[in-house]
Amino acid sequence: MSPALAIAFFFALTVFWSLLPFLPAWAESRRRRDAAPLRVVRRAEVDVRFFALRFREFLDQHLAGELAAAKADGRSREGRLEDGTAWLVAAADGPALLTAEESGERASQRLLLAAGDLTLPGEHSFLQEVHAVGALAGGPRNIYRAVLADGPVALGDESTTLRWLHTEDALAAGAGCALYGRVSAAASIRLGAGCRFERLHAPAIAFGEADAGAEANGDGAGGGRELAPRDLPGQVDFGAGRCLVEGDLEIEDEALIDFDLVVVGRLRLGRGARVNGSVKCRKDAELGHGVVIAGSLVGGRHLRLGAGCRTGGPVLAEGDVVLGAGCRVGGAGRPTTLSARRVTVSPGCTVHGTVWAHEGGRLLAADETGEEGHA
Amino acid sequence: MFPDLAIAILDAIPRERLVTLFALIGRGHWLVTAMIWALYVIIFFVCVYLIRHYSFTLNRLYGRQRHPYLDVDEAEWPEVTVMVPAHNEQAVIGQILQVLLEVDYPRERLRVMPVNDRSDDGTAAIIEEFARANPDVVMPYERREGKAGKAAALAEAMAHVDTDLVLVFDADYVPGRGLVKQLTAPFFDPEVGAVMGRVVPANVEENLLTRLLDLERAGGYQVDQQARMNLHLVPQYGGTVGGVRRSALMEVGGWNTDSLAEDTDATYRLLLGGWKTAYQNRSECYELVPEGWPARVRQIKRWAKGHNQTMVRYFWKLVRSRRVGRLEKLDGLLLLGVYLMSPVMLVGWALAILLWFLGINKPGLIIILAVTSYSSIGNFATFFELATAARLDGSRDRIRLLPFLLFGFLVSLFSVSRAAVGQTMPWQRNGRLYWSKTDHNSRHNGRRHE
Repeated sequence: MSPALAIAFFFALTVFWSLLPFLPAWAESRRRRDAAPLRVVRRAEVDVRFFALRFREFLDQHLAGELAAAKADGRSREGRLEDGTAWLVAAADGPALLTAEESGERASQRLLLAAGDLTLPGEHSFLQEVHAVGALAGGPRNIYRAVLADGPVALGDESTTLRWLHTEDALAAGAGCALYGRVSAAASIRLGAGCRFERLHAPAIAFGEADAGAEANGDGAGGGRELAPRDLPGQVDFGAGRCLVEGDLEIEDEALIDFDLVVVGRLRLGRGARVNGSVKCRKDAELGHGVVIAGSLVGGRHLRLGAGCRTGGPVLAEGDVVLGAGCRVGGAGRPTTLSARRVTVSPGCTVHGTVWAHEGGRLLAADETGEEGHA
Repeated sequence: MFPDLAIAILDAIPRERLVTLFALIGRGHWLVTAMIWALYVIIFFVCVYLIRHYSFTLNRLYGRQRHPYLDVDEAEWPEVTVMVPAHNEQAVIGQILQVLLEVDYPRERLRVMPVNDRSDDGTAAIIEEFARANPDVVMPYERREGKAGKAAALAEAMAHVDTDLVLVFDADYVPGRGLVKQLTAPFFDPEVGAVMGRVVPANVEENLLTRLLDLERAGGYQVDQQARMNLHLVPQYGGTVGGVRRSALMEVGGWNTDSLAEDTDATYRLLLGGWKTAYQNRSECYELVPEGWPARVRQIKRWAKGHNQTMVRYFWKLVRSRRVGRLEKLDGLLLLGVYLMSPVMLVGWALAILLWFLGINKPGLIIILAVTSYSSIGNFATFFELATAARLDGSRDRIRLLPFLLFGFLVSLFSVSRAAVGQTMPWQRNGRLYWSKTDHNSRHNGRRHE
């Protein structure tokens, strides 16, 4: 090969190699296979009731007639959807819901719909959605894929929901239930001792039975000395109603703070203290018994609320949240949000609004509350 | 080829001058030493930005993602004013006002304030119509005179706002129903002074430029901004699809009406004042990106000038600040310098070429290794970042367009450098501010969230 040819060949190879990445680029620019604007997250999809609402749409489209007919003539019906999924529409006073085979296997693969109230036996797995136009009562140790009810729902002890549950009334979950996914109720939710949960939503979410001894009404909070920003050690800035504090901060018992508080280090609010603003703590925060925060409580790490604490606004933690006995988050008619990586709740707490425990939440049993319940 | 070119250039220079030139910059001359060290410094800064790019990208791929305010779906929502600055926006102002009236937010706590800034088209009439139909929500502000520019309009209108929280949307943006709540939620954190949502191009399919800008935006928000949020660094308030806590902004001096980038300016003053800017990656809003290169060049030159203004104002203040953490400070300084890197890169290229053709390539192997390493890994950093952003967005085939970004980068490089050099010219330092608007294409006005 002559030198000139070799140089030409090398040059051509270099050009080809340089232009190679442009070939798929050119092809995509011509074909426009992926030229649509990015699909943004729709608000409806983050709604806690999203799946329930979609299931209701599905029922309205495919099985509303069957439900109405079953209610009208009192006879149960069954059939299959286009995809082969079996369904059963039970009349209010229809015959035994489950077949002998299902009872034997303790599992149902059918969509179970009830035109009225629905009572389910215990220790069964319901691997398709369950819907009741009326109330729904489940036996103990059941496993539900998803539940939609227009009436109140009562889950037996140690039951499990896998994807979602929604009721237009109240939900009562027995002791030891595991509520995975989205759980919502239009009226209220009450969890039994030892329940586990991920995402709860209701105007009032009661965790266990109220502990009258632990619950504080907050009226006496902040009855001690009123603290000005200059009283706080480490205070570096006060402006726009916010006091910024470097380092750790400990607030004395029953102190009254009338501004927003931002603490760069750790924070401890003494027993009965009151903050008529919001609190942010970049590290761990600990609230003593009966502390009241009128605004929000935000933690960069873990938040530990003592018994009988109250917050008016959202409680947001990037770490864990521990609620002592009788804590209250939000208020009647003033729903709010509690969000954390993990949430541990003592009996007697109430949250108005939404609870998100991204890695799981747990309601302690009465015999577990020693430390958390009386911080 | 290049030696021939160099010889041709050298041939064009009179021989006596050439001899003088080589005599001046011969080996060991102080000028050569200075050039080599300047090149080293430039390479150092390029490597710092390289590390920054990789850190952000790897954080988005493997780090813990922070969305601390995203879960707030129930709360006692505070009163908020949504400002819509508008200068001759008759094509789009009606659309955004209609959308804002339909957002999921307690109506009694929502104010919509279209700020009509000296429009001479039908903007005022449209605003008036909305205000008449919705007197409880739409509270327009009109200015007929005064300093030009969005910052001046916002500053003047802000005096008539009676809520502590203020969100800002440009008139050609189309917020979704839940966006006002999502952008308000971070303000429950009393440390947050500003919040920024994600901007998503709506007119992607228009042409190659819009597709490239879509990739750039994805990298900037999906990777850069979110990584800064994850790492507790300095997310940037972008002036639209975001908001500020009015009391905090006033405390640090309000909108800077002398700035071409009032948003970046506000970000840094809030930072120096001990306030945080929160970025909400999932609070997305469609925008229209420039569809022609001239508009794109104007846009990036304006950004560069504004950003450089901010750098001059706050660089040393940030260096000296005791309130800002070390990593935040480092990130803040690097963010201030991003638009300066374009002329710096050009100078670096010029130095490298000059030194090469002068036969000065000491210390030889190390330089060659550094250059080849940077070429293979460093140049790839931005592409890696944008490809990661596209992947995180679930986009597949648009990643194939990455090689074309080379052209976009070259245009940006020279535009930004020209803007930066221009800023140093005495006759441009006190230039008047003006509205620089993105050209609208009515074909895309109408995309909205479902």
